[in-house]
Amino acid sequence: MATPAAAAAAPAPQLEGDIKLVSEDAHEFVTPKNVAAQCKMIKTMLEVSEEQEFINLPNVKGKELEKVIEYCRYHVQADKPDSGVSDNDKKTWDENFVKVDKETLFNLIMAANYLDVKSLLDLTCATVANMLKNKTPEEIRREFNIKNDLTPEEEEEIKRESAWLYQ
Amino acid sequence: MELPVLPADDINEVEQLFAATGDNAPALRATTRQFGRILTKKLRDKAQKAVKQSEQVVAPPKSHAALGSLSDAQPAAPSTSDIPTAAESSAPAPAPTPTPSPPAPSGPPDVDVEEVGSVFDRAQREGVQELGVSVYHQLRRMLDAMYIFCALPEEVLGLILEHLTYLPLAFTIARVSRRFRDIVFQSVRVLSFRTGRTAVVHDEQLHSLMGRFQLVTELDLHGCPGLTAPAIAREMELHGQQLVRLDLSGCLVTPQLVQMLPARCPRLASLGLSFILEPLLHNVCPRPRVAGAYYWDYRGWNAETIGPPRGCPTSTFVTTSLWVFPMAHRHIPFPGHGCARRGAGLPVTEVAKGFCPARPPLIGMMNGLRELLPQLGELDLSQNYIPGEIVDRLSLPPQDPATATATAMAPLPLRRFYYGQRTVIGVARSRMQLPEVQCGELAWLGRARDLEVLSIQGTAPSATLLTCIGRLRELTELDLSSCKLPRDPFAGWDATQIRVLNLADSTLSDEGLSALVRCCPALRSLDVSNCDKLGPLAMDAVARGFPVLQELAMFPSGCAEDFVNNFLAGRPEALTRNRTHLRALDLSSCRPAMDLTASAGPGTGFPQAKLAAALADRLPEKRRRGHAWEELSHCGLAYVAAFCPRLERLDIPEAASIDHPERIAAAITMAVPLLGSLRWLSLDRLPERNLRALRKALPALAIETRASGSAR
Repeated sequence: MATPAAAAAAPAPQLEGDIKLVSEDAHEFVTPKNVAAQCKMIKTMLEVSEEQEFINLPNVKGKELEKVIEYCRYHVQADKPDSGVSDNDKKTWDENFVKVDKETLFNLIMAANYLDVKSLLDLTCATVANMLKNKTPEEIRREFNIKNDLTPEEEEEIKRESAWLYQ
Repeated sequence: MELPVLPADDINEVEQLFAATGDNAPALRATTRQFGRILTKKLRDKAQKAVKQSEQVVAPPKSHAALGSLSDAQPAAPSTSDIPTAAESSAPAPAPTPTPSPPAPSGPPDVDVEEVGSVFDRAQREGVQELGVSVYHQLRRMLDAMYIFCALPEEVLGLILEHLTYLPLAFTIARVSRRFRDIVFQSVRVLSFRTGRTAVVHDEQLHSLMGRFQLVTELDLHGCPGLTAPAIAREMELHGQQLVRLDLSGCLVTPQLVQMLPARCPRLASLGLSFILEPLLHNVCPRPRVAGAYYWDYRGWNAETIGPPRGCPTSTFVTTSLWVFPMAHRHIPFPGHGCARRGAGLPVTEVAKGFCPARPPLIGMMNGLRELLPQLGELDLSQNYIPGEIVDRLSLPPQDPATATATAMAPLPLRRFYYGQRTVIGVARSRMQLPEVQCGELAWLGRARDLEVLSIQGTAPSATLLTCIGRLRELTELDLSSCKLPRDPFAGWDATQIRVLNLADSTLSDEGLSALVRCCPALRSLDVSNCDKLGPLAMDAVARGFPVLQELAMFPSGCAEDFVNNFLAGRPEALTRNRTHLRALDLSSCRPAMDLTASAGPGTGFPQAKLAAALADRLPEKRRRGHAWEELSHCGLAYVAAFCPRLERLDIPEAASIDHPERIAAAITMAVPLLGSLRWLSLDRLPERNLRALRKALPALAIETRASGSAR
């Protein structure tokens, strides 16, 4: 048991103990530092000053922060070499993780972008990208309440350019 | 307080209503009205019972609670304060208010807030406050989500759109709005026509695409035969500076085009030139003064290899999917990357035409190669043959040996040559339909004096070709697995230098094996597993010959019953007689003991045990390692212990548990002291308890266990 602990401590000795993360709406989350450090932004802050007891995250709400921490916690656990979690398991977990309503999903994207969690950002962006597939422009506009500010001529131009693709 | 959850079908209906609205305000207003109507009508019915039940109890307090919950929910709805047009004055009160009037919600300006409010109001008045709040909440979330999507920063939208690589999809998104259009055209870095390709790309389309997608760094024109070389050259003039990867495989490439690339595309790190037309190959071969060696390597071509030739800059030529088509064939059926494999609308006749080149393609290839890489030592052309699926449908007419012989050239100084289809599944099933490899196609093989390793796996070599192979003096390794062999495959062979021979899954007969014993006496390793034509004589043949054999695999994986009979009739004891060199014998595919017992008659016992006894009879002093028994029983183990005292390594795989694990463990504990040389024991799926006992009983032994999932 001593060996893995030493191995884990060697590369990142400053990541021991817990850190308190405070969301925009003043929810507090006490998180192990190595989990929080999955967020590059927090990691940078931890590296800058090791003494601080909490980090304020003014752009993230409690609900999303909780989800982000859940994601980081799972992946820290699952990425351990001896965890026995297969890639398939991880994929399934990820798929279930993003089965949330649109609002949460978009907020998650914003949170992942702000906290700089690349894998989560990829995951959520791919989920939204999937929502855009197999839809006409009109359907996309409806689904996401987007105003069409293209002039008919501009739209016609794009249509003409790509007409050969749909033959 | 928890908000009541709206029944699923109602949510769907609300969502459908709003989804159908789009962005125009009158429609939204109408929908809101309709929403109100449906809400009141449907929810009244549903809530009536509940209201009746609690009529006396709930009046004002319920309303308060509902409102309270609503205002609780408000702060959780994000971006409210960020919305620039949100009506600040009508923002919801932070504390619960006793007034029954609904809070005017803030939201995207297009939505008729008043209408929503009045719906909510009516819902409340109808006495379905909770449901009203819930529906309203649902609505708010939807509107917020819509708004947030529009508010996503550019770079995040770019990230989302980067996941959409399919070209028609990019254009669809571009038509959504001006912002989307700009982001899409700026975020596409890779232009590829491989996936979902339905239309043929022509010159003008490439021009317009390259004009649109200004930031493309990877251009993949793999399989775009509609493009002309001058047009590609023009695009390279205009946009070549930024390109990092370019794939021109399957295009009509000219030498001029290839020669101009280093100047036009200075950043190019990878260039794909697979599938180019055969006559061009000679010309495309760069003359020494133009550039160094090119790889026609599928995995790309390193820019570092451009430069002055240094004698022979490369000695290995690897291409895993080379297809050569006749020049006259304008539309190249493009079989790479799954198009043909999935049968994506390629007419069979077209493929057939493509596969019946007038000249054997390999010779043209070899001519080009000879000029390009005169010192080539290793050539891997495997998988360049026709895939099994097509073979199943087509039969290739024999090529004209006269033409082939006429164009044959001096061979390359190859030492290793791989040909045939290695990984095509289903070869064995369609073995009878394998395309015949005529002597003409590989005529130069007879003169490839330096050849040491040859693989023509999965083909049907002609008798003449095999005679040529038999005369190769340096050949030490030969792979004829999955081959359809002629009647007398080893006629005239005198190949005392061949060490390794793989005949697995081939049509080798007893006579063939007997001939092999005569002509390849020095074999160290022989694989004749799964040769279903082998009969009882085979065992005798093997037993008589190959005095220095070290590795032998001769068990069928499926093991037909008659083979078992034949095998037992062949008396495996003979196998090990005078076997002074045998180190490894693969018995791992032995079928369940009962089959063998049944077919061998009562009293024969477990074949593993019998084999172990037979082996042990002759092998006690020899180094025998790497044994794996399937379906080993505890009494089989006892035999092993009794007859193989010098065993160094014992592997009992997962499937070994014919017996109860306790009995196996007991047998091991008893057997191991007899096996003085045993150093390594591998066990699958032994219960932890037994394992602990074993470890305790045998502390000196290295015991390896594999979890059932991660075995192998």
